[in-house]
Amino acid sequence: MIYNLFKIEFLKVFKKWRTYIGFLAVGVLVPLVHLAMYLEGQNSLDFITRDLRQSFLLVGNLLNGYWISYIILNVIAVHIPFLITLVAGDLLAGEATAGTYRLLITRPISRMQIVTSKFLTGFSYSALLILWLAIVSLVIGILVFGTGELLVVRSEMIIIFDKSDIFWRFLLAYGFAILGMTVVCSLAFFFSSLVENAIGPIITTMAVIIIFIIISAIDVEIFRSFKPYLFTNYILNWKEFFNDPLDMNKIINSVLVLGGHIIVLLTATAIIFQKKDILS
Amino acid sequence: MLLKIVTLLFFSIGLTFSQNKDPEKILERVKDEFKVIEDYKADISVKVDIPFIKMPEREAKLYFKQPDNIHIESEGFAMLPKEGINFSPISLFESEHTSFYEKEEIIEGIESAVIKVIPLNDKSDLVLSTLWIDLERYLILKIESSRKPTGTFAIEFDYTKINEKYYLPERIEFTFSVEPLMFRSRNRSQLNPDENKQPEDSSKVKTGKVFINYSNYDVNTGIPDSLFSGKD
Repeated sequence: MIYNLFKIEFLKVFKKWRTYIGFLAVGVLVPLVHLAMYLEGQNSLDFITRDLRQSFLLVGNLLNGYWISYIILNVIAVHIPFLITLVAGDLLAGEATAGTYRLLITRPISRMQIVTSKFLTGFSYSALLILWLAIVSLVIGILVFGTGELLVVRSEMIIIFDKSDIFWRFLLAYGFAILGMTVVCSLAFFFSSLVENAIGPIITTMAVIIIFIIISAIDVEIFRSFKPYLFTNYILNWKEFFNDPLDMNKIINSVLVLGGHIIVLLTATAIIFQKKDILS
Repeated sequence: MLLKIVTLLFFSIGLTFSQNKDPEKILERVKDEFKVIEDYKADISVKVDIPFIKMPEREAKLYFKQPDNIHIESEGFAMLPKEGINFSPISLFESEHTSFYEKEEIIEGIESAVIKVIPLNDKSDLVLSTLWIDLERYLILKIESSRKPTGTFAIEFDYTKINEKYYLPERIEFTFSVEPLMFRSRNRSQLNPDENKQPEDSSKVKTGKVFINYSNYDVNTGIPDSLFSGKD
């Protein structure tokens, strides 16, 4: 039953043009980054390695698909949540706006099944968007620029990964990004259960993310104490897969925190929806 | 310049008694021994042991042609110390310099002359070099050098005999001081200040090492000049 419901919800979501905004944005932006890297990428690399070049001869090509995909993931991962909210914020509230809540509820399915199938749809959309990002940045990046070693500049060190030691890191990083985006989806889904207009959840989720990111970015004592409680602080921890050795404690902690957020938000959504008085 | 004059005076006074062996003649012999090698190519493997840098061991092909032409081919990315890899005794002693015979020393059972070389050219990056020279084969066994702006470095050489007549490095150990600032991120995160934080000991200068192993030498095969016209 859930599978059929999910299939219906999935089709409903993908019949709306707004669903494709995210895919379109990624599909346009990433090739633009590729083009910029094709024209100017070597200058960026030279700038990053300028100090190293004083003492070392750097031989070989670091401007490759892996490096560009890493840069793209760095830049875009922060903005993907905004694309997720466009769909996730509409999942429940959209029914109210369209006046189809009552029709849906009167069907022989439980409210829990509705919430589950809609959440699974939101999760699938989030996963597909990250998958699309992976395909456009990594696959096209490798086709255009080839493979090679990956240069990762961290605050405490420079790591150069052998090309045989990179792909699995990307797979896990994209997997982690899906988890992070599912938290965003859950948050928008939660707000979506509270109101009857999709604009509210979309804007509210965006506002929450912006506020959390700003609090994380301002390095003052009073905000520092809040940081462990902000999910945005963990969403970007996909970068830990590009560390050597892997900080498993940090990764596991991040997965648990993000997973916890999903469970809490989904439970809250389910409770609210169970008790919701459908008036539209 | 003042530093060079003081250093000159110091060695002139302190090492007067060591001048019974002519350092210039020894250096000339080293150059002559190296001059018989017009070019060579070799497979190299590079292992980097530098704080603040993690890099897998790399393989590359090194081409050398007199006086100091270097070309490196590598399938992947390789990072090689400039001072160690393009070392040539000829280019080292080419510029105007003065030298002092300091003493004799046994290095790994080999009797060697310790010679200090001070460049006289103000524009030279080198401030002072100390060389340990094998007095039997006239090979440089070790160099300790101060260079502007990269600081001090030391290179130790182990040699192998190629074609029963040419001595070329089998292994080079390059030791140098590492300025953490050299590796500080230029991509500072605006989103997460924690990513920009430096480790507590990041201000300390540390020692880095690069090990280069040479194998499969081909000597004097006539490498075309065109190979060295690139950036390397």
